[in-house]
Amino acid sequence: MTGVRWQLRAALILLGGAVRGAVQYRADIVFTMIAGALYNGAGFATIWVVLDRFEVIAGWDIGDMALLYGMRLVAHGLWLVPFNQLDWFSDHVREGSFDRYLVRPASPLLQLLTTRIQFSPFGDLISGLVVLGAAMSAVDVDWGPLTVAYLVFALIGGALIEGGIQLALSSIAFRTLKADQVKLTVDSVFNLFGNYPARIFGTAGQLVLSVIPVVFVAYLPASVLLGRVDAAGLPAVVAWLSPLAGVVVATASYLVWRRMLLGYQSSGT
Amino acid sequence: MTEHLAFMRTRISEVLTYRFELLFQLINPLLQLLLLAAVWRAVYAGKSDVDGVSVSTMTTYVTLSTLHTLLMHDQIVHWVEQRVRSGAVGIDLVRPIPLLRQQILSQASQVAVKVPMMAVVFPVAVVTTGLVAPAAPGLYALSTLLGWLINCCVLLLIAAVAFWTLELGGMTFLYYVVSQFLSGALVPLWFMPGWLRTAVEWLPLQATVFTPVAIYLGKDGWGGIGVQAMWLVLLGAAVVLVWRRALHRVVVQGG
Repeated sequence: MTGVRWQLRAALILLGGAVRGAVQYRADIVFTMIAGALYNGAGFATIWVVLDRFEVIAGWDIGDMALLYGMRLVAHGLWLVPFNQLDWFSDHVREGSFDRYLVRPASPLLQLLTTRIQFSPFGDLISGLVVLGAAMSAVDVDWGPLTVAYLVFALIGGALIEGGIQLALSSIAFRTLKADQVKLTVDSVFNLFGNYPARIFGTAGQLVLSVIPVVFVAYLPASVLLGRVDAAGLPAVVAWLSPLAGVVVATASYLVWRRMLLGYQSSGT
Repeated sequence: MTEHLAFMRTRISEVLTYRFELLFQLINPLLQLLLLAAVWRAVYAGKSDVDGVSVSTMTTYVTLSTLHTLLMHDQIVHWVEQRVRSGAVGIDLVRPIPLLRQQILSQASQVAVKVPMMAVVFPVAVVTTGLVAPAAPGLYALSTLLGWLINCCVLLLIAAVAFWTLELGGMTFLYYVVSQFLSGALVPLWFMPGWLRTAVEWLPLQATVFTPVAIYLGKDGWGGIGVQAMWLVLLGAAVVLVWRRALHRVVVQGG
């Protein structure tokens, strides 16, 4: 009864309800998407203004930086569009509404993700695609089937890393009832440091960003695509295989989530 | 005077209720500071000097502009919006302190909480990014005060919109995104492309962060103070006018 196909059908029905709820506020949808896009625009504008004067940062010109920024932002949007409800997960645990998901046949995680639909992540995704599209024509990369396939795998891998890390951090709330600040802080690290070549942060910085693992989201695959494999102090083959890191991180995180769920005792509210 | 102090005391304790949230608010500026310092060191790539600006000037700029931006972040727009929407502004109006002065005292209370917080960030900033000595300490202090007052005026103008629309969430978010750029918090004006610099120079926000930091670094002087004073007079007058009109719009929806 609760096979994968059944779960997917349940997800579609739940999501339909969430969409019907959200389209009651059309102006708000448009506005939050624009706000999300502008926020990302400001991040890229900083890079653009700096490079307008200095031309390169650690050997990366504006086209290279746009590719990195675009890949990171698309990966970010790709995980955030389906997984944005994780941002409210602590609230569900504290207020006890997560208990409701446990007594229904559909997967609790799936029910959580389809509670509501947010539109600002679509703003991230769209602005990311715009930057990435512009970057793809600006950089000196031969876009054949192989490079495009690598790019697609890298984007999916990046999304799995960011989503996996956030899922694992969210599950802390099963024990502590609150994990918002640590999630926000880690998210900031990805949003700020993921957009730059890790080389500029020195040996210690590269080590930290490899462990978290920010560099795997976009920096390592982008350096491979640009033909300047930079493994941030790791063996070069790691950079080539970086899209696979997402599968590892996401699988491990899902296991952590399942394990933490078993220890869930409910807040009692 | 007693009622002013009492009012500020309640405000400060209100801010301190969320002291852990406040501490976490320090993490983001710190991260931003580390990032910007690394970016500037990387683009300088060993050059000691670009356009007469040394790399230590730039890392000092990053440290100070981050602290100044932290000082400018203020809850006042949110507070006014809540009071107007809930109708509680009716209670504020019967208090012995005029409504506009209450807001300014609220803003001062937030500074009273934030300055000790900055004392936590400051040593970390100095160790990680470095800091050169101020070129003109007295002038810098004056400019910081003027910059803060200009920021208060800008925020009070935005907050006043609440009396007309009741919903400011999106507008404040946009303001913070745009102001980071226009205040010089991310990139100093001297490294902006010509047209952008001209546009930013004609706007008041550069007087909130860029001017005091430029004065600290000896890149600006009394000229900057003059521009700040002009903006303060203009915006201050605008605040008084707009808030006077806003009071006539107060509708207490059933309290």
